Amino acid sequence: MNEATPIQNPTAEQPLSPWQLFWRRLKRRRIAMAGGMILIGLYLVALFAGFIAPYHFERQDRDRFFHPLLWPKLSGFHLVVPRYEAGDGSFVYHPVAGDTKPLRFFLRGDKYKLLGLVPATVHLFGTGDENYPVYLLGTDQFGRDVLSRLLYGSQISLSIGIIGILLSFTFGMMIGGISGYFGGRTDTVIMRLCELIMSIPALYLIISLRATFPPGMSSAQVYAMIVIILSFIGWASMARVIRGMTLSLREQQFVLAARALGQTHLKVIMRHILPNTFSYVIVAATLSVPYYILGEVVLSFLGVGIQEPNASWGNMLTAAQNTEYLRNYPWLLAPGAAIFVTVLAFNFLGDGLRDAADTKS
Amino acid sequence: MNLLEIKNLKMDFGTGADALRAVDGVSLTIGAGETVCLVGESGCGKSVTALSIAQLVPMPPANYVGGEILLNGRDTLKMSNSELRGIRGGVVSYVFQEPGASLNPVFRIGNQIKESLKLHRPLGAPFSDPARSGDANEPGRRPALQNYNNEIIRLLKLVGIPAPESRIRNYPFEMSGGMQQRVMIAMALASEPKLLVADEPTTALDVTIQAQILELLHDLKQRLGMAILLITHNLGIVGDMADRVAVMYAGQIVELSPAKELLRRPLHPYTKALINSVPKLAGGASRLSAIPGNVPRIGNFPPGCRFAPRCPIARPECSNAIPELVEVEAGRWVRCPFWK
Repeated sequence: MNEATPIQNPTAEQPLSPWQLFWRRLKRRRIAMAGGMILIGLYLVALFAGFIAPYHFERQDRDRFFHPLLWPKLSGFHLVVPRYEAGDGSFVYHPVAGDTKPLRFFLRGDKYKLLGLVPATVHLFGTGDENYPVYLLGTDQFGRDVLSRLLYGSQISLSIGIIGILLSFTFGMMIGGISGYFGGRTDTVIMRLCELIMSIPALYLIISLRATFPPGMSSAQVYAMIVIILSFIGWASMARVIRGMTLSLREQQFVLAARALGQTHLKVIMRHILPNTFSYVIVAATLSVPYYILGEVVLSFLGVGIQEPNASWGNMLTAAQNTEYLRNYPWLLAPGAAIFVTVLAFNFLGDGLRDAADTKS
Repeated sequence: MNLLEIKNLKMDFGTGADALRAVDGVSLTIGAGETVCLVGESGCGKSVTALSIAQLVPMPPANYVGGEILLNGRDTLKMSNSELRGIRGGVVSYVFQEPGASLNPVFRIGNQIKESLKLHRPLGAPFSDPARSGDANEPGRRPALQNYNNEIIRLLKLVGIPAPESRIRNYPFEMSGGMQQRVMIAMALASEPKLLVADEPTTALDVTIQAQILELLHDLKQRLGMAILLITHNLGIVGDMADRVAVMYAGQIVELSPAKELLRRPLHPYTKALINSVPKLAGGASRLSAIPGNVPRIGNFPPGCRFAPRCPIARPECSNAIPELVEVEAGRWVRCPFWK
């Protein structure tokens, strides 16, 4: 079979994909990039929490409740950790002059599992002596290192946002796509259901849903429950927006063209309609992650989320409810600062993504 | 047996009192390897008729109230969904008006052609189509595909896209309209259909590209032996492409005739008016001739002959009853008793 005549000279350069163009526009937005960098840093730290944390999150130091921040000092060319002593049992600590221990790196300490899989004992820093602890963020009311708990807690608090988004957005996109694509009665039923869920105040819904789960669950079960509860509430708003976008996308000719090729309805939705909503979905997902992080915080703060002794940013803040604690031991608010930074970083990144996805600007 | 036989097709939009008759008693046949043009103004029911062949008009609102569409002798109106999916793209392929809108903007064109291949010629499966089985000397019959990429490149070459090896990775927006339409045609040909429905394939393209695309279609038809149903409102392309022409007005076929004869000697007053309204380059600065009035709105058709209010030779009795489509000469059908 001979070929038809080519209509112009061949061009062979590789063009930029839409994603590459998107990346170019995103790179120009400094605040968004800063947000992204902060998030990458936070997630890396969360991934290697066991290694970076000097102690295990459950380790209690019965001699040092509410110990204030304890930072290593520079002595000559070495970092040394000073020793503090409690005065008269009233949680007031004084440094013991001249009594120091050098700070060591990559030393053996509490057991943990690297990435949740590999058993390991090496920690980034520490002194290796129980009498000379390093408490960069102080200790809590049980004498546990706040920094270590913050790091372990970030594993739960940061991952819950991502997993929750994956779950609720997958669900919301599928439901919204089906609703908008088929229209008619399907659409009406699904949209009224969404409105029903959205019309109940979220906090009441969270708490009443929590009541449907039995008490005394393991921490893994509680984690799954929080994800399920937050996703159950979150899918509805996503479904509504995707449904709206699908309503306009389904009128596009490429949908008819795909149908004319003999594609099934479901594949048309999955392959042709939903990918066209991705630029919106990615932005919306980035901007909604904080909602899930805060949701976990709220549940744990109310005592129905992650249970002690496991650490999450929410249940760490529970200790900071007490005004006396807050006044005297303000380092207990450290998880609040972590939440603040994370949420802000997600919002900066999300705003940047939105601007980069909007090609009209 | 004709490849396609549409018999007295009647289709409404909506049901009951709100029903609007979009297609009213259309009968049309297309033989294997034949090119038929469907001509008419916007909104006369051309596209809906063509989409009905593979049941691509959404139901509801579409509602088929009568007639049948025999494709290879089987009525597509009575087919199950899975049978229809085999027909779509397998036996009938479509090429639409705006190539830019017909391609999914977020996928590389190679992947879009691959989708068509996956649906109708999956890797390793012998090319067997229920609608074609028993026809061992099928010209398009070929051994099972071993590799999608080679076949995609072959198809892109077939439709005259230069450097297909690199074009395969293009996104639709990186191609010109003409190139996009070539990609659409390549997708349509991937399954080697028996009938290619081209719904105003050149309307969105500029004139020089139009000629190239039409030439490509003509050439492919000769090589692959498929039939073409070409929908257009441009009479200029009819003479080059079509074997026969059906002229539609307000949901009905008003004239059906071999293309050459229709252009040389149109019989129905509407066809005459259409041909007169084609702008001519020669002939000085005369006013453009247009058909007076507008196409009647669907659901608001005048009584009797639907063209009567705009017809130069209308008589009072034209408004009494809809005239029949009558064969007045060999192969020439006209829906007007006063065609002489």
